[in-house]
Amino acid sequence: MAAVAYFQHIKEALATIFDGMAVTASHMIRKPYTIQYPDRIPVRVQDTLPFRYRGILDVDLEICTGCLACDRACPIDCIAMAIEKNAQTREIIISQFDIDMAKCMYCGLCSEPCPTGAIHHTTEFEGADYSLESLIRRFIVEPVVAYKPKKGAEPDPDVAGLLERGMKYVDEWAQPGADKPPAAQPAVPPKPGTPARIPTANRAPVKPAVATPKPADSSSAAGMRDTADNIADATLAKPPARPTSVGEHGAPEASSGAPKDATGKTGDESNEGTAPPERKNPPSS
Amino acid sequence: MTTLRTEEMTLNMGPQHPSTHGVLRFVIKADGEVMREAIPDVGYLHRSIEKIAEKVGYHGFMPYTDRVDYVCAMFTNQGWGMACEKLAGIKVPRRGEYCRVIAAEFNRIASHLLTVGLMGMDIGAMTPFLHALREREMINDLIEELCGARLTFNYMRIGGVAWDLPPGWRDKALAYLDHLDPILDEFNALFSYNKICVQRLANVASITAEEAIDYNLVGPNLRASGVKWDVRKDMPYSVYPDFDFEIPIGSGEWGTTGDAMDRYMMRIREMVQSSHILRQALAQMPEGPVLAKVVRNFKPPAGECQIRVESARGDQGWYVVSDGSSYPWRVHVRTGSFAAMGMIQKLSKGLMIADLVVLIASLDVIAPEIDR
Amino acid sequence: MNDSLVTLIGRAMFGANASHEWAVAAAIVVACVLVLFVIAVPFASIVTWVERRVWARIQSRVGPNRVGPNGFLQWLADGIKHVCKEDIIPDEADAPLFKFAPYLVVLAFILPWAVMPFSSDLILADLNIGILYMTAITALTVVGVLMAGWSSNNKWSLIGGIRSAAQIISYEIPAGLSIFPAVLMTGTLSMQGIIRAQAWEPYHWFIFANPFCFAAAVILFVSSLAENNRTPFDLPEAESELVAGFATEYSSMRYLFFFMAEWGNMFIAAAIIVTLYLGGWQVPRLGGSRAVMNLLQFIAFLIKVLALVFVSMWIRGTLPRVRIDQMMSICWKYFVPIGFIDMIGTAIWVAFFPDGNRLMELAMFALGIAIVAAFAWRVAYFTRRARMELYFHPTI
Repeated sequence: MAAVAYFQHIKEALATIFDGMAVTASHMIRKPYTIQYPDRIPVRVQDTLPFRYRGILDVDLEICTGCLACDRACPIDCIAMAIEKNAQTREIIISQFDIDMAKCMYCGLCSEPCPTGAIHHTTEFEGADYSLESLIRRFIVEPVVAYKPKKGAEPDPDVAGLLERGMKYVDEWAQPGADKPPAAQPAVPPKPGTPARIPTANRAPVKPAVATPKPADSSSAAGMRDTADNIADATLAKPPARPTSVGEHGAPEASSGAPKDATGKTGDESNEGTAPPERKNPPSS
Repeated sequence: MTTLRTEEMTLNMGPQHPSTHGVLRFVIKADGEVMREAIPDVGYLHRSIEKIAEKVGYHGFMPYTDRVDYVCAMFTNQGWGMACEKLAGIKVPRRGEYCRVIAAEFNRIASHLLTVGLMGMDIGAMTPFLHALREREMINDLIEELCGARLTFNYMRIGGVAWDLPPGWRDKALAYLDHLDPILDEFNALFSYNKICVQRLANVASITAEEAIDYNLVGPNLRASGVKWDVRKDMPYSVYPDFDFEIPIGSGEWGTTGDAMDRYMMRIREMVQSSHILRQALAQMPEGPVLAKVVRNFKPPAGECQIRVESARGDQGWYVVSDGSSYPWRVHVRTGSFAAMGMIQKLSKGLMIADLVVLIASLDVIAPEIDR
Repeated sequence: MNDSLVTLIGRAMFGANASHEWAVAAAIVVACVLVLFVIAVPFASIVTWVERRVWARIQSRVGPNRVGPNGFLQWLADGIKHVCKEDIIPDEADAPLFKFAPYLVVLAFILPWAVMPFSSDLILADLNIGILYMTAITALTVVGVLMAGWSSNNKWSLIGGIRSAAQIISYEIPAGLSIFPAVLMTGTLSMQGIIRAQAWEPYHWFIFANPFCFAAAVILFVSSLAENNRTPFDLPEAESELVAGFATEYSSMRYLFFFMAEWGNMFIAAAIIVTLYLGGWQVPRLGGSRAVMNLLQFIAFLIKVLALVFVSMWIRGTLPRVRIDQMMSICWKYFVPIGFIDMIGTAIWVAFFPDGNRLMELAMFALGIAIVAAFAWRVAYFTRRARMELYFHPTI
């Protein structure tokens, strides 16, 4: 009946509009979901971002091994590195490490294969600047010797702090492994968020740290001072804990000597003879 | 007796327009308010992503797949990962598959939230758009904790996923799902069941099942026309057989089957179903690794493979041809939006200009997916 | 007392010479300037700030809050920005019409202030055809909008202009029909007359006099939304379809004229409804001096009008837009028949109950209270259910 439909329309219209207005009225008395960035928030947004946040890249040159894994992994070729092998001392000298942040797409493919976590994403995202050239982060001021991971604990406390932070970053990434049937799983579940990892007990005593010229400020880049300061602040916001004595953490949980990403040999002779620092959360547990 | 001379108007709904979903152009031939046809003009967002695959290699292409459809990037990640795994015969660990499904279903909810919000905005109700985006922001926060990015995730890798679930994430995810259910009811009360919205969407541009199949529509568009086809159920992949969920089908309750209202309600119902899948997945997650061992210099044997993934926009097809080297020889993505664009010219006859906007929004066309 | 604002100002300015022609003319000018620049234009500007804040709270966000305390000077910043913009007139546009169109629309906004009853003495001119005058003037908008749409030489503007013309002309009819019940109840078209026939108690307002008047008030409200191009009837400026409709090619101050007129018309439309159905400026007789009573009446009027303007903004934040053919069908198939029924029903009612029926008034008033109570219950239901506290970002 057309008359019934007519009044049905009117009734439906009034009922649904009533409901809709009730919803909006209830929103008027709720708290707004707005973060009033950048000036009316209690903490800096950078400090609230999760640890895995893929912000602007930073490189800790003290622990960079010069393996070029990041350079090869980057799909856009925004990392430009130049290394050379010193024939006598068999050290690697890094003479150029530039990352073009304008090209970078923040995908994380470079920080995944890094053995020490030297190249990592920070929580910094405010990188806008006035010229395109200033977005190229040049980490090397004068050539440095690449880091050689030690067999035992890292003796230099600053480097140990950076290494610890780097390995914590690296530990977040998934460790490749094969599916094991449930019966073969060990009974102990992995502890989440384990604190500092220390390289394991049975290692040869270490050689004293080599005095190599290191750049005073690893993140100096022309024209990008503000961001560099912010990033420097961000990485040093939590002062790295001093490592405790070697041997505290007992036996290794994974086979030592396994490369960080089990993706086959990198074919790089820089790391032969030294084991890269180990992962804390191996796949089998 | 002279006859009045009337002309057809040719309008240009240009690439810059507040309501086309992305950079699309329509040339509209209209007789006053009623259209004769609307000819779509695509290609403004072509970035040669398929060609770039041939340059960056298998591992390096994963972030590019995010950009194919940035609103539901997890599905393109998954499609590419599955294609490479099929080429090389790699098996993803179970926990990795669960992580993939969880990330994908959260992305589906986020994408559908954006779609229903955009539908609201295109019709003129600004409020549902912001409410939907607020919910989507919460999902973005969750995924940011999981993989570090909010839009272009690059979460999956060939052989699994790149990060395991962080500690405490499960509880946050479950809390979000508890929060989402009453919000969807509220959204429906505000917008979906509103008489004006129903009048704008019902009986607009209905697509019959035969037409939908002929024109190659996929996803919620296809299911709204009554065709029961979902890749997750009909060609199951990953661990979807483990979960118990339904596939909503359009039934024309508000108008005809396959009209814009059905397509819109499909998305709302799919969000509810995704919520069910997520709860089951979070409860049933096995332990184990999340990533299989894959060599850095990935060289799958020569051959080709086809993969289908049920993305938020429909059945997304990946076709990869490998010639045995470490760079693919050809990559092709077939996306749901591309097929939907083909239907617009046919459907637009007899619609009003205001309905064209509704049509585009209900087909959930995302421009980067069309042009890649 | 039939004093009006003009005689008051004339007496204040010129004392004993107030009846001379030049004194009267000067007083008229001063009175008009006063009303326009103290109430009309500031309202049309400040309401943008209020609307954006109200809209924002509906949408779970904050709204402008930086320019001035709580963003109060945002409208000033917007106005200054618009004035500083380049005035672009398209090459092929019909320049004289293009320039003249905003003025017509603003004229339709300015003229009704002459009969706006702010209080028992504060009215510029108590015409005995007050309400008819208002209805006639608001039809001037059509000419201005059509001119704007045509002279822009832009097909989208043309569509917007024609849509708007069709809309405004169509909705004049239900609006006019809905004015009649109140006029029938009092027998006069003058604004003050209609207000004086009501009393300050809510159940003596005409909206609760009988169900026909209730329906007529609702239809008048919705029709006035349509006449002002407000959502859900904002097709002419449908942002998601036509960018800005008939005003697409306008920039800077000309653009602002259109929108100042739109927002100002909200006040006028709300004032019409308040006058006719919600008791106008009536306040309880508190026995103060005449000036104090006038002030109280003015405040009461403003509160009622602003409440209706708030409801109009609230509806804008809630409802989607109707399509042009649906809008026409709502007007001609629903509002016009119901408007006629209201008019005839009120006429019959007045024939039977010339002095009103107390029982019906109280019953309708109880119905109104029931609707408001049901609404509040529903709001509480939604607020309880949405468990927002489960998920808030740490910085909020």
